[in-house]
Amino acid sequence: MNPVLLYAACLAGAIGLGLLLNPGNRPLRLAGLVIGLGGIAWLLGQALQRSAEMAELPLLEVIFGLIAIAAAARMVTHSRPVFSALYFILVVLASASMFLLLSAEFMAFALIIVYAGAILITYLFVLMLAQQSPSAGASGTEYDTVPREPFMAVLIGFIMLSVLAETLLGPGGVIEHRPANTELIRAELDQWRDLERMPKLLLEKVQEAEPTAREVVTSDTGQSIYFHNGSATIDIVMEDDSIRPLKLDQSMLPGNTQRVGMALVADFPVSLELAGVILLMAMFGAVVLARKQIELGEDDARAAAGLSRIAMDEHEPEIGAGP
Amino acid sequence: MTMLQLVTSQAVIGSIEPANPRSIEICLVVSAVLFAIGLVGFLTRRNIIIMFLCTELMFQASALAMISFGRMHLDISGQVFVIFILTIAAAEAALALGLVVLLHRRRETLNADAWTELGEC
Repeated sequence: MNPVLLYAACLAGAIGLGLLLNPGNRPLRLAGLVIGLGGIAWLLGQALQRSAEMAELPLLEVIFGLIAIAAAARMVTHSRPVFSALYFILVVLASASMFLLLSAEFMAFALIIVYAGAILITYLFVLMLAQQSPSAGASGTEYDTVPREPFMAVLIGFIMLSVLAETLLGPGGVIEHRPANTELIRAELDQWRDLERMPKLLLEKVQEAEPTAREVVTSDTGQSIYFHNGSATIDIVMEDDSIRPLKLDQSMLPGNTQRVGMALVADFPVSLELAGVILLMAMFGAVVLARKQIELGEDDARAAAGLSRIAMDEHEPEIGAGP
Repeated sequence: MTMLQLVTSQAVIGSIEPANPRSIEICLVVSAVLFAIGLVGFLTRRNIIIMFLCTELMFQASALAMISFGRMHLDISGQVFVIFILTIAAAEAALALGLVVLLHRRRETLNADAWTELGEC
């Protein structure tokens, strides 16, 4: 594919976004909408054409992708902050549905709960806490309507998008790769190994298929599943102490949530602990930032030491005036 | 690797469904566009809260890219990393919003330009 055309599409998207940044100028914004949508649609069309074999047309992905992009553009250009936050919730919902389509069910719902449910609500709270005076009018305050350096920002965005698009769609791009047969088999093997690491789940699934099974034979090295004649097999001990092999079915493979949990606990335990520490530190930081100094009597101590008071509710010190 | 070779010779291929390459490409392009929009928003907006929201948009785009690549290679680590992205985003939101409330108490504005000179004030 000609990279110049790729850059042209990115440029169209960038110009569209740049025109959309002009609040209050309706014809200009409409033109920006058309140009930007054209560029984005061309990019998506190129992405669809790249696959030589006629794979199924991913209609839902295209729809949710367009929703996400449109909502993101509106979020960046809207002059009222609360609406920006609401449009960001739309972006989160659209990308959560894309996660679902990419068969990452757990992450999709975690995204909705954590992002749309918790983080965005906090943003909305703070936005309303810091609400401007009603005299600001319907169009928002001056600093919300006038963008800062729109030309340079759009230029930087264009460069960023061109580099990314070139990496993804250009000749020799990263998604040239197709999963080879060995990769598919390795993936399946990984899933069986995950099931092997969850012996309770394995026994449950076996007992669903074979109610008289008592336990699963496990070797000293912890292996219980072995591969025989192209299918995964285990040895089970029946109630009458006889041992017989059992063929495992595809439906016994662990689900997405079980695999994510297993990977978190077994493969990334230190990262999990670190994430907990980061959250704890963030909590401490937020508490320290939000506390009122006056409650701790710091001002009296400062006054005794001959320093100026730092309580914000009372005498606000003159900006720029030192102690 | 002997186990892999053994299974390669014997396994029934196609029991695990490979990803539709077109849908992966769409998702990756969408994530690239979202990231660029978030970058432009961060540079143009002058409201502190909206600037933080734009960083969240960039987090979102990278999470989408990670999930897509994880699906492409049929690997679960992509999703695990998205959990850590969520953690960082939550920590960042808590700290950033605490800071914003503090700043707003001092100057009664959310304009980032009001804070161009850092210093004692």
